Formats: sequence, C-alpha cells, structure tokens
Amino acid sequence: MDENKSYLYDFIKGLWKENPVLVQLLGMCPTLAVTNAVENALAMSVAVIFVLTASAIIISLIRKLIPGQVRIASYIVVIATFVTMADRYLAAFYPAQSKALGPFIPLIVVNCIILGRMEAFASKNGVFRSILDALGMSFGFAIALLLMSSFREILGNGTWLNMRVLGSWWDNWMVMILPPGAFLTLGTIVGVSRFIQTKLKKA
Amino acid sequence: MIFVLTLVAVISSGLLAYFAVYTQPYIEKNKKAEIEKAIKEVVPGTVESKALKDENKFKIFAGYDKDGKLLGYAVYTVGTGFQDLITIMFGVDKHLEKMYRLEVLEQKETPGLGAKITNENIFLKFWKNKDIREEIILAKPPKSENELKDNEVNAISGATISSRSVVTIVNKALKRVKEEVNNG
Repeated sequence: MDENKSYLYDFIKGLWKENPVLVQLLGMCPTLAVTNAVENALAMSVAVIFVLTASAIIISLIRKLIPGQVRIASYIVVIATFVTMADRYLAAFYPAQSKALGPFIPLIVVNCIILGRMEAFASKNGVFRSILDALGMSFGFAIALLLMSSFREILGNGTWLNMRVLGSWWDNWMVMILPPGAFLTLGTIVGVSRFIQTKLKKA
Repeated sequence: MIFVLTLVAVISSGLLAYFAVYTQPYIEKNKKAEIEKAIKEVVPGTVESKALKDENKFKIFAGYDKDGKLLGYAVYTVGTGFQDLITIMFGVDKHLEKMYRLEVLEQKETPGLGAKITNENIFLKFWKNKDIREEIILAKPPKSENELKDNEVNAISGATISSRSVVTIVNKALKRVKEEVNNG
C-alpha cells in the first residue's frame, strides 16, 4: 500500500468499515440520548468533530512524553479541557445554541469514541494521520447520528429538522422520541448495516 | 509519571481558568440581556425596569413606560419540574389581577414531551390574560379554548407532570408577589 492510499484509508475507515457507532458500538450513551431530534444530533456531531480533532492533535503531539501508567488520566484531562472550552465558548458567544444543547455538550467527556481513538490511534501515530483518523471517526459518528435522528424525528414527530414532512394524517409514534425508541432504532440500524456489510463481504 | 500528569493537569487548569475569566463577562451579559428582554415581553410596553426584589431564585421587576408610569410587575421564579428546575418569567398588571404573559426561560424537561412547555401554540398561549385573583387551575383533560375559564390553562397531553409543575410554580410565585407588593 503506498503512502497516499493509506492516508485515505485513515480517513474513510471511520465512515463505514469501522464506523464507531454501527460497527464498534462505541459512544452509545450520546447516540441514544440526543437522537430524538435532528437538530440536537447535528449540534452534537459538530461538537464531537471539534473535541475529537483537537484532542487528537494534542495527544499525538505529546504521546511520547506521557508514561503508560497515567496515559488514560492524561487523555481525560485533555479531552475535558476541550469540552469545557467548547461549552464556555458557546455560552459566551452563541447563547441560543448553548441553551438548546444544554447538558449535551458536557456529556462529550464521557463519549468513549474519543477516549477510544486516543488510546487506539492518536497515542501511536503522528499528528497528520491522527487528524485524518479523528475526522473520519467523527464524521462516521455524525452519519450514524443523522440516520438515527432522522428516523426517530420523522416517525415520532412527523418532522425533519423541525420541517413538516408527513401530512396531518400521520399519527405520531410517541415511543420513537422516548428512550425505548432510541433502542429500537439503534437495533434496527445496526442490524441492517451488519446485513449489508456481510452481503458485501460475500460478493 | 506523577510529574507528567501534574504538568498536564496544571497546564489545562491554567488554560481553563484563563478561558473562564475571559468568557465570564460575556456569559453574565447574555444572562442579563435575556432577563431584560423577557421583562419587556411579559409586561408589554415596558421601557424601563427596576428590580424590587433580587434573590437567586425569585426576582420582581417593576416595569415602567416611557413617561415613568408603572405598568406592572415581571416576576422571575424557579421551581421543580419533572426532571430539573424550571425557570419562568411572567408579567402581571399593577393591581395584581391579570397576567399578561408567561415565558419559560430555562427547562430540561423531556424533549418532545415536557419540553413543549416552551411552545407557544401548545401551551404558552393559554397563559395570556389570565385572571390571577384566584389560583391558576390546570384543565385536564384539555378543554377547547372558549370553554376554558378565566383562571384555567390546558395541560399538554403526554406531559401532565411538566404542565402541573408550571402551574404550581406560578401559583407559589403569585402568592409571594401579592405579599411582597402589598407590604410595600
């Protein structure tokens, strides 16, 4: 495999083949919690793209300085720093968005996709490849979240991004925007994506 | 090992401290602006306002028009909702007989259900021009708009607890406003 191809692979593997939500089943907590509306899922995705990429840059830069015994603690401190900064920044300059997101932003600290990528990739690779990996993974996360939230918002509320898509004949499936709907949707989407992946592998 | 971890923690806490100090004035300004704006919305015609009572979870603002005439009071109150605290601002006339409008400033109710307490067409419109000489009563099951009595508001279907929380918070605040204003 030549250089360029492997760089490309660093990025695209997160989108589908190693999708953090659909394949690795990481970051389930925000996936289940914020996908009741497309708007929330979008905001969460943007925040994760920022935190994951920024953390990957710092961690890959200081990876040789951190002793193995305290690496997890160091990663968490770095991640929490970026999350808090994002949270304060939104509250100061984008109060409306900050209000809409509420508790979702601080929740990114416990998103195990981020810690997982630090441990599995950024701590072992250079800055450039870590950035590609972080972008790929966070976009993969965003794709999965958008899929789930579209499914849930349309069935549960008849709207997509607050725009009416189903007519008044549609009887909202309230369960879809409640917690059980999150599990139903996740199960279905993971099942379908596994089915497609197995088919593709055989073919 | 301890050295590195300490160093990482010190650097990030330094960074955060700087960032917190830097953003603090903006965040406070936003909060103040939000309250100002809400006062003008819940007491229509307000040009100037003055805080009569300024506690952490309970504030009364007097709203004046451009000639300095008292229009009414804006009440800021915080109470328990279904999941977390709900912050409400409502405006009443100066005789404490009528409620102009109610707004929900902050809430963390269930998205899609309880969070509808911020929705104008589903919930907030029932709170306009209510008679507040008596307590506010929650109508359940919901009635059609012209069947509602002067001191009745409709509950949101599927979110009775959130609706009832708002009613309870408002009634408590109303009682306190009457005491405070009548005692000067």
